[in-house]
Amino acid sequence: MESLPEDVLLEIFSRLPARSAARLRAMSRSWRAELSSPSFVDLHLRRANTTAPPKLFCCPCDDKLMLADQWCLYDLQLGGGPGRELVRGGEFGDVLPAPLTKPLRGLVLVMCYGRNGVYVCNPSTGGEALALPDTELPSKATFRPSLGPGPPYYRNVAYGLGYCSAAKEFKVVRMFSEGHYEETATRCEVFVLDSPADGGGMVSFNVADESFGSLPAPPPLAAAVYGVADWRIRERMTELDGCLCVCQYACGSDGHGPCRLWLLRRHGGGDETAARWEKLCCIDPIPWPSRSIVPLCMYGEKILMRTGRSVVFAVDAAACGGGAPEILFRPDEHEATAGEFEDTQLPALGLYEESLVPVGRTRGDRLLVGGDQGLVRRPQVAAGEDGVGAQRRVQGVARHGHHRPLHPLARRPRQHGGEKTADQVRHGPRRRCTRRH
Amino acid sequence: MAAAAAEATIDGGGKMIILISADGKRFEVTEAVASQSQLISNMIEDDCTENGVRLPNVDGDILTMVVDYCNMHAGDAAADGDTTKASSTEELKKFDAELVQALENPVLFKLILAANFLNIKSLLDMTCQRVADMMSGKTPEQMRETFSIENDFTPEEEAAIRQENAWAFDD
Repeated sequence: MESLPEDVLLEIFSRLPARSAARLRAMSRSWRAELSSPSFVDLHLRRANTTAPPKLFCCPCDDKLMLADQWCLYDLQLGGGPGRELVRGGEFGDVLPAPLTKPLRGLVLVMCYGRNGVYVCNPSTGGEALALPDTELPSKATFRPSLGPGPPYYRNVAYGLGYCSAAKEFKVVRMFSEGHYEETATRCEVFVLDSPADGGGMVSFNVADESFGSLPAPPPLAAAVYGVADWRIRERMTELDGCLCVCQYACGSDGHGPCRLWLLRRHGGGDETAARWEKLCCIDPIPWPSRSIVPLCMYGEKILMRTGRSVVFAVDAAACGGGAPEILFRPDEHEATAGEFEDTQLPALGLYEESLVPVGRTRGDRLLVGGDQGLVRRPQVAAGEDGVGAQRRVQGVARHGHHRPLHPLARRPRQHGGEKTADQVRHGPRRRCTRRH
Repeated sequence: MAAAAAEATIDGGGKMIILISADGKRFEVTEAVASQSQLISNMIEDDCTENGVRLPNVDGDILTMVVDYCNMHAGDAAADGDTTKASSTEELKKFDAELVQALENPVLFKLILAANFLNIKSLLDMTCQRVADMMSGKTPEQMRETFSIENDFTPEEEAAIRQENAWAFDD
């Protein structure tokens, strides 16, 4: 039989239902690559959905469900034809998913009633589902008086799913208003969905136009490399020498590892794609074990750092952190502050500037937000005059919850990455439907 | 079908074009009919259809189907033209369905190749959709056989890729 050229085969394969097309990835190596490529995914979206009439997905009535013991979704065609089973039971558990949005590039935002969880799901790929951050504790769910005080809730919650074709990113937007605790501001959260292939990275926030972007993450520091299993890698983000700086530090109950400083240096015209992580120095070992080591600023050729006990020391950047670190300030020995200092994540010590700037002025684009919370597990912000960087979870659901009071007179400080949201992000990994038979 | 008719006009319509298949069969069609092929439409624009259009990779029996299809669909290509010639949507649907329904794979593939070569988008759409409909639900083994694709996976690789796309295999 005459074999067809590849471009014609693509014309055929792009018209197959998603399930059949995905199955063909097992034909050969080159077809696996081709049928997994973004260009084929796009072609398939265009071709496989051209035939009228529209397709529907639907769940059988309660009686049928009782017999089947599990809910399932069928793919149905207007005007007849047998239904094809799309999804059975699975990740949504025993709660039926009801669509909140129309499909966008095949993805649908669904709500599971009774549980109030909201998921992004693709019904045509076996119900692959991604829980939004508060799915397990839906604090921003609708009014539920039976639950008593509980977490704060909002009377009005609205969801939307969007796609930015330039950045090739999906975004879930959630607005909520009329909070339980007499809160009047309307709040908005934007969850940017990670592309599964794209791994870890960082989110940037442009202070001028308030838009989000993404930056590559520095190479990870693996605790296992140093042979101590219970070491935790702490990463802090700050601004240093005019660049975004990440400080990686391994520590555990009975020791501590090296501390690496990375700077995101821009090359060429300041284009984000031309930014590269460069290792500024590696200090090994830190002479003063601490739960929290953070760079403060450059001081000539030296880097000033602080420990969790508010000790300030300097390392030589030119020598790549080699040579003995030199202690410059010890609060426990200073006359004004002397006493016991505990090793804490957030010591009361920071840089200070002489300034006549009144704090009431929140307008303008020189807003600086500082912070040095752990950034692997929680979103955090780093200072910067033209942008704020926030770490996004590796393979995570949401990179940030962006809270912003919309009331013009609200004097609430701008928050970046609500803690509640962040903690729940940690518990909501990317998951797939598991099937039971 | 005489070549002398090449310059003749029928139905008060446009010029006639001669199409010549690989095995030397000649087909006479109006410009409007032939222009559904983007390839021939370009040739008409470039004025190089005088001596007939040779189609060395399309057999006579396949070209018969293509010409039938184009004659039938000439109406929707020139919607604002002579409406008496335009077939109704119902008739067209029936015609299209009957054209591809009866075809076995080898002939259908040849028709796809012809539609691809002549660049007739609607015919390519229809024939590819037909193959896709028949292929839907087939296993990778069956697809390899149908499309002469060589399996270059090791058994471990193939098992891994099936695992990765497990949702597509479990029915």
